[in-house]
Amino acid sequence: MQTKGLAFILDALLALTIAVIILTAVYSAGPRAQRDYFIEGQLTDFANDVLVVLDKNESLSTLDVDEIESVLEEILPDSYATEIKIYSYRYASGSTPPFSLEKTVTAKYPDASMPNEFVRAERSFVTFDAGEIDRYNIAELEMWLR
Amino acid sequence: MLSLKKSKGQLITVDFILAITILIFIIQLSMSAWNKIVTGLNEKDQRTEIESLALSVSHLLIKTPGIPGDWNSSDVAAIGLAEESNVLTHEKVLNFTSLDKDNAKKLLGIQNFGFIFQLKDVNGDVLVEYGDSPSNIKESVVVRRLVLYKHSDSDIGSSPGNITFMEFGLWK
Repeated sequence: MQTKGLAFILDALLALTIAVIILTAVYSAGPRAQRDYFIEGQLTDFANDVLVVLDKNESLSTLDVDEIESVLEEILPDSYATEIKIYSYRYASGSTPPFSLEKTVTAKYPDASMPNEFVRAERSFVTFDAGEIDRYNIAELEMWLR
Repeated sequence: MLSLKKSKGQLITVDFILAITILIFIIQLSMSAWNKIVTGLNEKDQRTEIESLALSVSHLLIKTPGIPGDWNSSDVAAIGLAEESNVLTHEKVLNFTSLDKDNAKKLLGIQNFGFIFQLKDVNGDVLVEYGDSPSNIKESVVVRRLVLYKHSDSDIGSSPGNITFMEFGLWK
């Protein structure tokens, strides 16, 4: 008789444990996952904005690290950090391949190491010389929260 | 014989009361946890709604020219402040800030919310401000975007405009 009773208690304890685990998991996991979406969305939007603005105000096309970093210093919120790499290809008609990597520029602000989680934006732009396209450039920006 | 019967009955009753007590305790615990979950999810839903709206509206303002492209307060069908992506013109900003606030909210799809629109230079000085006065705020969110702002005659034409922050705040 006592053994049977013990079986019921173990059954009840098991059921209670499972119920508590499920409730705790649902309670703690649900609301957290969505909060990151906004922060990530805002960071992604801002990363894209930075590249568009630096391209349109012609800071990127200078390929000058100091100039790009001084603009980044002005515009970046305190909690953000970023690194921009620009791959600059020169076009030469008649050569094979017609594009060759001539220069790689890396601008960074502030001087902080990149964590595992970051957002990435990319933009391509051309630079002209005497009214003709002379360079094709790809800018890759990585941005993260400090 | 009689007392033996009573003992059996008591044992069942004690067992039963214990079981009912545990059951009530578990049900109460579950209901309390469930209520907290539902309340949390409702609050999160409201938060998510306000965050999504703020992101969408900020995107609409700085990425689109509006409808028609050269809209003004009398013929506007959709609000957009961009001459091109991330480039705002003084003319469109002026048209926006001269709109009736209820009409602006309707066009932006934020009738049930309070909002504030600000343009700030890189030093944080406010260049333009338009919107409601904050009051009775339960949930609020501010989205900050980066734009080029052509805010004077000298900026119109070939000049790319000045680097400016566009901040859009939304609350309920």
